[in-house]
Amino acid sequence: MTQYVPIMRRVMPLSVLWVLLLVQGIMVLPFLFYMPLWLGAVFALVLIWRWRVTHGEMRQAPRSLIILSIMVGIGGLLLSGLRAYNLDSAVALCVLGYLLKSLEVMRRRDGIFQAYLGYFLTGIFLLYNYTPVGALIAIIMVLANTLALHAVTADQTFRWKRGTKLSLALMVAALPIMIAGFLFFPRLPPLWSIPNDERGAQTGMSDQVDPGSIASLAQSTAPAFRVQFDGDTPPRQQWYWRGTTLGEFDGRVWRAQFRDRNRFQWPRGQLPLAVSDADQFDYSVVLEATQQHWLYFLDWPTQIRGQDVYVLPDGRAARRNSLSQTYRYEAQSATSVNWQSEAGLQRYQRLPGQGNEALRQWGLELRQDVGSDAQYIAAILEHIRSEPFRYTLQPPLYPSADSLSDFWFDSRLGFCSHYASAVAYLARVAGIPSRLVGGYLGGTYNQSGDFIQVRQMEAHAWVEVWLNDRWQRVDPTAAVAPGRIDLNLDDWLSEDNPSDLPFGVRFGRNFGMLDGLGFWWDSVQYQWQVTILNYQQSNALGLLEARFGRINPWHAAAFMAAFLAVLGLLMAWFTGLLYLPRRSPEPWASLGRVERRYGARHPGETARDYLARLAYDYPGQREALARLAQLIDTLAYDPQATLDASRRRDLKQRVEACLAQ
Amino acid sequence: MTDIATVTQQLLAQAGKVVSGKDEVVRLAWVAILSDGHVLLEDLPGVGKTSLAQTLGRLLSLDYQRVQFTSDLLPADVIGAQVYRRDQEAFQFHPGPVFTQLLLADELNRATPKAQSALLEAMEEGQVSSDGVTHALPVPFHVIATQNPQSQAGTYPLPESQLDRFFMRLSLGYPDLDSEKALLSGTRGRALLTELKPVLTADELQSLKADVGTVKVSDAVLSYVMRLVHSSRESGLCRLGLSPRGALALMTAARAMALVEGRRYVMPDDVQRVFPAVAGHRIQGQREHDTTILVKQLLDEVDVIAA
Amino acid sequence: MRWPAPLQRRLDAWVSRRLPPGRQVTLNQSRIFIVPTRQGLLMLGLAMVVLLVAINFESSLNYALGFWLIAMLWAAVHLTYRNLSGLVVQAETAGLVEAGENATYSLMLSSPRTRYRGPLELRHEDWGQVVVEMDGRDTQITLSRPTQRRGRQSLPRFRLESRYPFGLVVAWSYIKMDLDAWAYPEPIEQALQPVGTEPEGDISNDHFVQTGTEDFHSLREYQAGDSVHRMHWPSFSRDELVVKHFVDYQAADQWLDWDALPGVASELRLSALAWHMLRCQQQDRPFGLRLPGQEIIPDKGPQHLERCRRALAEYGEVI
Repeated sequence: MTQYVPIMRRVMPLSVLWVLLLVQGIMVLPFLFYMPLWLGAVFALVLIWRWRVTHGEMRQAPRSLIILSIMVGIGGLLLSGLRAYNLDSAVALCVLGYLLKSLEVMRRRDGIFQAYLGYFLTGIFLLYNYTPVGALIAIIMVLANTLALHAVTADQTFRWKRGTKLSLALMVAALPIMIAGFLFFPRLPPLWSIPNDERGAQTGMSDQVDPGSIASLAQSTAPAFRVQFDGDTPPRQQWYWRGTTLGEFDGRVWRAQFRDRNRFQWPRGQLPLAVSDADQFDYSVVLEATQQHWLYFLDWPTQIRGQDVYVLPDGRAARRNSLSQTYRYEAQSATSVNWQSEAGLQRYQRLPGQGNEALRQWGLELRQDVGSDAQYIAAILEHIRSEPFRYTLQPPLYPSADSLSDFWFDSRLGFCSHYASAVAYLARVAGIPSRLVGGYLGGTYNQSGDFIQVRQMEAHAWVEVWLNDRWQRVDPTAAVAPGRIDLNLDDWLSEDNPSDLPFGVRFGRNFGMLDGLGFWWDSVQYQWQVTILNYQQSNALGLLEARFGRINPWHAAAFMAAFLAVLGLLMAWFTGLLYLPRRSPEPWASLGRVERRYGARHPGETARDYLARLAYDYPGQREALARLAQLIDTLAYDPQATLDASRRRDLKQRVEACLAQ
Repeated sequence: MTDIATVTQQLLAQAGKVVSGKDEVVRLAWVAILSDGHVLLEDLPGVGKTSLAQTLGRLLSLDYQRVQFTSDLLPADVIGAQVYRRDQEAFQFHPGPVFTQLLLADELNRATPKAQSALLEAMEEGQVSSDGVTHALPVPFHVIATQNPQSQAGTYPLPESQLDRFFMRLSLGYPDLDSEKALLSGTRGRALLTELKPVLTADELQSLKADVGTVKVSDAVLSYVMRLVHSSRESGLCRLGLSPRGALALMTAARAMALVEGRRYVMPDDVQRVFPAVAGHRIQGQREHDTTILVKQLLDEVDVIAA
Repeated sequence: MRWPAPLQRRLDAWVSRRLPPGRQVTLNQSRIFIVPTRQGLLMLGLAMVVLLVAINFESSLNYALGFWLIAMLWAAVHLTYRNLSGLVVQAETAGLVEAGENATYSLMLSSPRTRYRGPLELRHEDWGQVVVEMDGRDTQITLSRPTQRRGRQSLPRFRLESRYPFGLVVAWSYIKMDLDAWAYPEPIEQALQPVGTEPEGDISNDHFVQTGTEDFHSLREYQAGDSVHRMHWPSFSRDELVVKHFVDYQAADQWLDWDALPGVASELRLSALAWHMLRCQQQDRPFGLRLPGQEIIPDKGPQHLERCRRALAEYGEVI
């Protein structure tokens, strides 16, 4: 006779502790890529302790060890420079807790807690990595935690093979409901905004550009966004993807008028553009998560369809919440637009009072030499073309306050942002409204997926000047490196200046046969983004909406309630808490009708005996009951009797005769 | 083509003259014979067991023999023995009373197990062996054995395994009031027996027996029989459930009963009607249950119509 | 969980109506209850948190994960239900023990389909929990519980539950088996009074004298077949064929009689009878037992003792 031990307090056997430890390893490993490395050290510490536990030292970790670990952990957190109150540090703390928890995993309760925390961390992991590979890793994580859950429950009887099989069975059996929930659950807007959501660094064009900032982007082959054209694709030379418009210059850094910092001042409204008779293009964009707000368009955007989008007056749009997930939107662009007269043009003529004096003088002199603003711009570009300017990925730093002068007169080595910055400055010197546009130039057409992929490497900056009552694009890069316009950066550099290319890019380029695989993988990722990551429940609800009209939150709530109710009923039915009346075939259904009227048949009574008993109890119905008994017997037991329509009718009549008073 | 329903009518009418008021028992015995089975009549002395056997023999135009089993009866007295014929200077088999078409084995439980088993083997195999020579019994061959249920001194009750050889166990019981009055007021009694006219020739009987197998059984009835059998084995009521042989007998009897009722398909009612006679002596209760009650309980508890 | 007394009574009544006892119980839909455990509810809560993360971070994959967790809870119902469904619990034997000792009951678990059913837990406050791993073969379980008094010791209604394989839901059934152990009275010393009907007599009447090997009794005339070893050689010299005759003394059958304890309370009488039985057994003497309405003729040996003890245990109980 054993004392009853509540289930949660039972001590787990060694084999289960091993499983839990392994699962913990599986869980922590993928996080190491995103978290400070010292977490690995904590894991090693835990591992050593667990090793001792599984080799006979079955006891709780001493308090001193726990406190030491916590201190090491928190110290590590502080040292690795994670800021308080942001997601990264919260997650790091969570992972730390997950690791330290296992110091005292001994009883079932602890094991279950570990598995549940593991599930939660899987969800967190998906915030960091939402590629197909990430999803695969997450599936492995779910499997591992389910296995842990199973091991805790199975206790002594745990076997690897059986446990894995059962865990997989559970996960597979759950798929249909999971898919239904995924498809039909309404996608709600965020309930509150996440402070300092900075998973990884921001990528893409920032809302401020200093001369060196774009060159760092050019080192990366990571995808920025993918564009699929609906109909015609514009020619390669026009693949200018516009992101931020930078109109404010302080002598070194160009800033956007509408920035992350002043989100609350953003205007709402339409793009102040009118389409001229130029070509128009419809396309959809799937933008990688940038942790920023800026959306990218083919120059010039005329329409945008997306959720929570602000259209900003300087020819661009932004999303209210930063892009923490890939985001898909549809837009329309035209090669040329008619600008209404712009109100705040003087904003684009402002210059800082000092700095770059030499360049200012040079510009003013040049302006006096030529006849018009347009000629002035042309002369500048001609100057770049004729003088020994060089386009390079590794320009000098230009740290002084006269950085533009230094670039323009001394070293003449620069990247697109240097040239654009200098040209925009020169335009303003002559009083021509000008601004920098940050975005991307070029891209790679993916045949198998029929989309254009734009990588971070294609980052680019160019200039817009206000001439003849319209903004005109001036790209000084075309003057210094004409090939760059037609080629992607890596293609252009590998012809012109391979040593500028990052090693990884150069290495990858030498394996031409991998290109096919790369294209295939790109298109897989594109499909993944379009169908899974950017899934809106409206896709599935579209059909419903078409039929029942717009679905409002009440409808959605009602729908969810109905869904849960059906789920609950199914569960109740399956577990035997609820009996569904089974539809019995004829002639038993008819017999059932009689039974409901006159009282039930005893189990051992044949239909004939039962009806005979009724006939005895209700002499008035004797005739009808006997007729019914005869038919029921024939239909039920004579293999040659078939239940055709006439028989069915006959049966019905006879039953009704019995039921009639 | 003999219409079996009519034959049954005639049979019951004729038999009613001799054993009045026992239609159902006669019908069941008739079913047993149609199913090519043997009958065990368990009853008190003097309720008309012999009359029933004789009546059946006569109506079905079967050769009839009777053996009174006693404790000194030897197997050879039943099956026959080798006799030395001096004129032929050889042993010759002298057939016993078992070589007949309908054998009434009276008070079977009085004989020694040896004599009992000689008869039972003959019943089982349809042949007898004497001194290594096998002799086939006539066809048809039916045994109606009687047994006195009162436990009396000097009897050898049939063991359970032997009981299984009997297709049915029937009991006549006391006659009802009217029949007894008629019996007492009547004068002729057994003399009537000689006046009975056969309703069937032996050949016609054989062809009717062949018909039994052609009676259809629907899945619903089959599953009911399965449930009954299963329940007798598993419900916990019985120590000894129905054997597969018993189940087969139940099915055959239900078929024959359907045929006797003039139907070409079996109904659960047929199964219920034959169940006590077929299963009563093949199952045993947990304690000293009366099997009659047990059988009734099974019939009451097992749902006729599948849930 | 304990409910208020009236509610508990009605609950018990409902359970025994719904789950009648039997020698054999097959677990099916109407006998198995199933609900999420606290752990399962926690899983639901966890799924809600994951969904919250999904909503706030607009993370599509977290939506999927959240629903996966909910759906897994649902699917676990099936897997756990399977463990009990179709399981057959069969009463086997129950022991005969002295009152105050532990009565043992043996049950057989079997299932028509050979499916691994994981560890099943049989719970009752009398024995805590008994865990049995059911791998599809017939499995015997022995339950043991303390007896308080003499007489019938029915196997109480116990709870058979399974949380396997994930502990998210618990499926259980209350099982009442028609299985009784018996407890015979605890032996208590108490002198037996001579019963009037028993013949008074001297030692020779009291004892069987039968041919044996132990004690020399007398000399008698040789009979064909007597062993040469028993020849009385001194007499042989006198030309007499005489053999030594040995006997064993054996006590007369002792009747342990209910009526030999007049004026004693009946439970105490039974205890006294049990004590005398034990003594007879230890001294290897045959004894018989007389109880009102029952008589067991004298004999000895463990089986006889068992039989008499059983009679004491069953005395006064409805069988």
